[in-house]
Amino acid sequence: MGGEPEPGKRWRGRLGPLLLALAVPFLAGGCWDRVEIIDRGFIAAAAVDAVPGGYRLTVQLVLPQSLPSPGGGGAGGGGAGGGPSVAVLSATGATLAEAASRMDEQVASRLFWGQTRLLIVGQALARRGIGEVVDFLVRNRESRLRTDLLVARGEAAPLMAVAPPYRDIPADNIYQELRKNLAPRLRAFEAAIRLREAGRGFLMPALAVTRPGPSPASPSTGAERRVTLPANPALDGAGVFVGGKLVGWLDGRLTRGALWLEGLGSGGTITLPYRGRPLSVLVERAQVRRRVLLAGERPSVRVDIEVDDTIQEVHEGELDPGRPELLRQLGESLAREIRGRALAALAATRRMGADVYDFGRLFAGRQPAYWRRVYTRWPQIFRSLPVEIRVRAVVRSPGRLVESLQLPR
Amino acid sequence: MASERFAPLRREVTRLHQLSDLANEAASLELSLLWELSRHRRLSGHPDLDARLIRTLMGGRGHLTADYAERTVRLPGRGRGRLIWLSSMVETKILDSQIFGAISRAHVEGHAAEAKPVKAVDEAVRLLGEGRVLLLMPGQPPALALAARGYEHRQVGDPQKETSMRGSREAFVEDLATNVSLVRRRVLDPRLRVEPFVLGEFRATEVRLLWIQGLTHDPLVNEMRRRLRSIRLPQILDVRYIEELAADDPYTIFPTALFTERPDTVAAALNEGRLAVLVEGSPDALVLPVTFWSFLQAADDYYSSYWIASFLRLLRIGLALLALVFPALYIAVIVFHPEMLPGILAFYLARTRVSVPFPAVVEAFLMELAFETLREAGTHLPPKLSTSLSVVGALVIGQAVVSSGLVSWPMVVVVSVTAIANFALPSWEMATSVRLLRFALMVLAALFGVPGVLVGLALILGHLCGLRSLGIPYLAPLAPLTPHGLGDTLLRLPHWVPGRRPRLLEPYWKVEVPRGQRPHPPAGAGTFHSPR
Amino acid sequence: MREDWGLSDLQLLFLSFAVVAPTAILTLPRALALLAGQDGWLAALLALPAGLIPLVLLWDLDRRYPGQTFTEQARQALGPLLGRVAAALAVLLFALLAVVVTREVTDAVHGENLPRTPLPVVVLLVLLAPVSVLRQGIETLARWAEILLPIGLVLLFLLVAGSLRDLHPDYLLPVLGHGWTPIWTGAVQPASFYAKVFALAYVLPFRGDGRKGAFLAAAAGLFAGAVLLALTAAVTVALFGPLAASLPQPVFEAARMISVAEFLAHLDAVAVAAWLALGLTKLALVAFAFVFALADLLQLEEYRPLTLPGAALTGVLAAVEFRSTAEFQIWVFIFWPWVALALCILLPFLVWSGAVLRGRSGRRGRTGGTGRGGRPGRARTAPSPSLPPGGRS
Repeated sequence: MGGEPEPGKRWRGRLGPLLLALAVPFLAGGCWDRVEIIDRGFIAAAAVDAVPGGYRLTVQLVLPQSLPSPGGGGAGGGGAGGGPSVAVLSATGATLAEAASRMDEQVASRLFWGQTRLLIVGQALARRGIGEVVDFLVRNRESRLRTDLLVARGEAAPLMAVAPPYRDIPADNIYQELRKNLAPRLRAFEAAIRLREAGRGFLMPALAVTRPGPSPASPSTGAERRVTLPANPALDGAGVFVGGKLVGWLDGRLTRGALWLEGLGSGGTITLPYRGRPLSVLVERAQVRRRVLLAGERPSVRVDIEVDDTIQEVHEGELDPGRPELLRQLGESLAREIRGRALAALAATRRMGADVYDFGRLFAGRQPAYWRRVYTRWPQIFRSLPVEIRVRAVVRSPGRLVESLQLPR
Repeated sequence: MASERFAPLRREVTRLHQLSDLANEAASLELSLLWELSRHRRLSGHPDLDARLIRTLMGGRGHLTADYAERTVRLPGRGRGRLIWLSSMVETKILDSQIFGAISRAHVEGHAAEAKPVKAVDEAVRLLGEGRVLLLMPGQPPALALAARGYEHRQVGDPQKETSMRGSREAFVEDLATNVSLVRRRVLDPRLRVEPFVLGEFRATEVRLLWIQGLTHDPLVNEMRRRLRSIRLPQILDVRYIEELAADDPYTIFPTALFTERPDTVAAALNEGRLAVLVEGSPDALVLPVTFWSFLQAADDYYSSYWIASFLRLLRIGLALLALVFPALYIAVIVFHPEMLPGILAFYLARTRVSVPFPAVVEAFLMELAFETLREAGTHLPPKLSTSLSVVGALVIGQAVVSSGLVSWPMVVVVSVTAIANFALPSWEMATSVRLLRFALMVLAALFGVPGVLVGLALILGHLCGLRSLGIPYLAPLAPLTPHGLGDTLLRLPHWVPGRRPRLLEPYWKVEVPRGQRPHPPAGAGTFHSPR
Repeated sequence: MREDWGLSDLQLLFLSFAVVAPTAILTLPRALALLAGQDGWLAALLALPAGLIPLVLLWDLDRRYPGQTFTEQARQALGPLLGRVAAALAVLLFALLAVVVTREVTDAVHGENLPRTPLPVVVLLVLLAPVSVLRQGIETLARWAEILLPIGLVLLFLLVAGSLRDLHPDYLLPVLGHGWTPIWTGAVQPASFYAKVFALAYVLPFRGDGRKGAFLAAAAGLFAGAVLLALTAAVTVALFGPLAASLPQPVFEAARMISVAEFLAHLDAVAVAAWLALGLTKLALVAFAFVFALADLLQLEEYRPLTLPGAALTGVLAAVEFRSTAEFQIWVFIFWPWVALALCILLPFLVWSGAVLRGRSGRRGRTGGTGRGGRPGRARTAPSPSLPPGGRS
């Protein structure tokens, strides 16, 4: 403390500015960025449609006060046990931001994009291109880069209004469905990356409303009371995009096939014929190795798929652990099945000229010189790109039951 | 009528009262004059004269303290002496059996255990006040202070504030001599130095500075001596007075010395080359220099498995941080960054706050203040009433406030968790610093969110980096980083690890743990069973 | 006990690391992605000599004029007038650097977390901690750095770990896909940052141990910074591929993207925390160089009285100099790197060549310092961590 002034001075010197710095913002009515949590309008999910002259934004706005009370007791909780805890709002504007700000005027709270998990794009808009939507999401400081993008088969807005009673926040339902890894997921940042590269294809999970209608009469309560199963937005295949524009659809089966080529096939159930009866296996693990080959100017791709699985359901037939060739046969037919699906998906996307498997990306990384020559023509090259698919499927386990219960006649 | 008759009398009484007031004043004035004069005056060596002076100083002329006692004794071979003591401070039995006996046998100097020659008047008076018996004698030395202390003080008992599962169950008491003996019994080192200091102006207080010569860095001792000598306070009732006057940074909010009521903690500190200060009348010892980590160490750490001790160390560091920032972070996150929360949690937090009429900051401040109030009320209440306090405070009010929706239950959880984390800190002084700083961080959080909290933490950290305790950097083994000193900070390494102390004290560390002490099973057989 | 500990080699390593590391988070990954594409990490490593040149020059200067600050060395090597000019240029450089760093730190906090808070208030907030530490001296600053930097690093690595599953190493291919040209152009940016280790010219004389260790530590810190920068450059490209060049602060975007077990998401507050932990240290260091160089130039006994005015000047300039973040970004990208690079290398080079021409071998003792182990004037040093001689009575 050699050259320090006397203590009193030090005190003032150190704390004075600090206190002043703290006091001034308080007195000046500070806390500029403070927004109380109840003043935030949490957007759980949003849907965007193209309308003449701009966009229509429809959102599910969380109504915290109508969420069921967690402890059961407590005051308030108007919606406890009742309907969904969201309000559906809609607004239009020449840009998405304008629509959002118009919507902001409709509600008391300040719209908040930080908890938005889903953004659904209407079919018409998807055909026009999703660049602006992704731009809005990524540029917005609040929003998540992990917001899942979906494409609606038809208009997107009605999907916001469908509220199956499984969860308090209807959009959560779709989100949980997505999480199960059975669909291609496309997050905002992934879309942004893919949009950045000209002509790149990608898949976007598609959404449609299923209306199962009334259930059959319940036997216990008599014939009169019928339970109506709710309408439910459900995943339904995927939309195929090239350069940010929707160019076609894949149904659920083809979508799974396309996922195989990307190495995302695990977790699903595959049913294949086994001695004339259906047999289901559960895919436990799938590994995909993709290699690009270039012979002169002739590119080709080789995809090696390795699958481990477990038998889930056997209707009839013999599964004798003493006869491993049976399991091997099963593995072979499973491999054929997977290969068939993958090829079907490949054929479908080829027709659309959409390289949704990022084969082009592989060439760009591994064969940069070739890629620089051809990248403008890639969609055409992709249409006729030879793809060799090799599948090796191993049935790891017959499940918790060795033989079929009904032995063959 | 009657009043008419008594009027002159009443006037006379008033006048006398005034006179007596005046006399009082005069006496006080005279007394202070006398005190001033006696400050460095030597005893004359004439017992009668000296006794009169002392009597005057003890109140003399009509204000003599009631417990003043004085006897004339005959000292064989030396003439008449005077024996003076304060009856409230002296055990009569000792006085009768030993002192009078010794005097009659003319072996005062030889027989009384503690016969201290006294030369100066003020010293004599001070010793008298401490419970010594003064024997004024003709010639040299003019007086002897004899030990016959016999006043009541608390017996050595269990530590109340620093409890432990294992280890010593003795705690300091208010009696200095007892406290020194408690330490001395644990440091059986002939190099242990107990240096006396008498601090304070009139109400002179005995202070002891303890250190182990050759182990404690001499400049530290000199510096502490200098600081102790420079203390001039009218009274010193507790070690806190010393801590405040001997701190390195007088304005810091952090403790720069460790208060402990455990003699074993003091002994350990002495063996690490630190200094300890004991004060008459204070049941706490002051240990310095200390580092930040000293306040996260508990006595139990050394008496229990090093695994659990290390785990608890890390836990305490985490808890200290939690107690410091949790409310601030909660405010910052729900007000500035709700996007960081998992979705459903954010919605439910919003739901709990629907009926709360205050902004989150105000709510947090109210809750924190309410809690501080409860705690303060609890410390001033007799223990019997504290249950009713907790019922009224926590259960009735807490339940009512939450169920009426004035305060949200997450905030209650946050405040309670913070309070419990705060209680988990072993040092009361550190816990209070953390308590206060929490409020500052809450303000910063309310203004600027997470960056505000971070700037607050950076400021606190900057202060800690610059802070020193008796010249030793406060965060010592960590910043400046001296890796081999870290053995007893973040973790508690086993006792057999040849750990070394921070570099800053290194050249003077002489009782290092020798190498090669790790226990291992006997070589070869690996079993104690004999083969046959 | 020694009277004055000086800075340990480890502390010097941290301080030199602090010169480079913070920017590794903010703008540099974008610049690298923009100019060098997927080979940005290579450019980050290749630029390293730019930082070693000033260090080597300083090392030789220190050998010739042991224990003196750059200002003193300049005065002796170039003569009183030219030396003062050189020293004044250094002051100007560090003042600008302090302004730029302040603005950088402020912009990140302002843009990410406090967009509606007035800029001057954020500047104040940002300057608070460095100023308070600066007033406590270089040793406190070093200790502060020793704790803050690891905290920032840990946070940064947490962010990287959190985004591991989104990494596509494919995006880093092809290596050298466009040859060496883009890498050299891209290397200018990191080079200008590495060259700023020149700021250590005013810190190195406070070293507590030998010259060799101190300079090796500084070089090691520089190297660690370069590695970190290469790492973040690689990670951001692997995360964002072609998008990395379009994101102003890729690391922040990476944080925005993180989702740990569906529980913690959108951690840009953590990114800001990491950035602040590193950035505030750099700011304190640069401000120290500025204030200390100024005090040295004016031949003051104490730099501390200059702290508050210096900080005020820095704050005001940082707040008003640039009207918008975009303008600042352009300035920082296009103009500033060249200025910084040139000054940071030219200044020590000039002084060094002056010294060489004067033929000072460095054997003869100097009278400039106090001669005690080559420590600059005691009055200016940090409060010694030893016993306070008479702090209070």
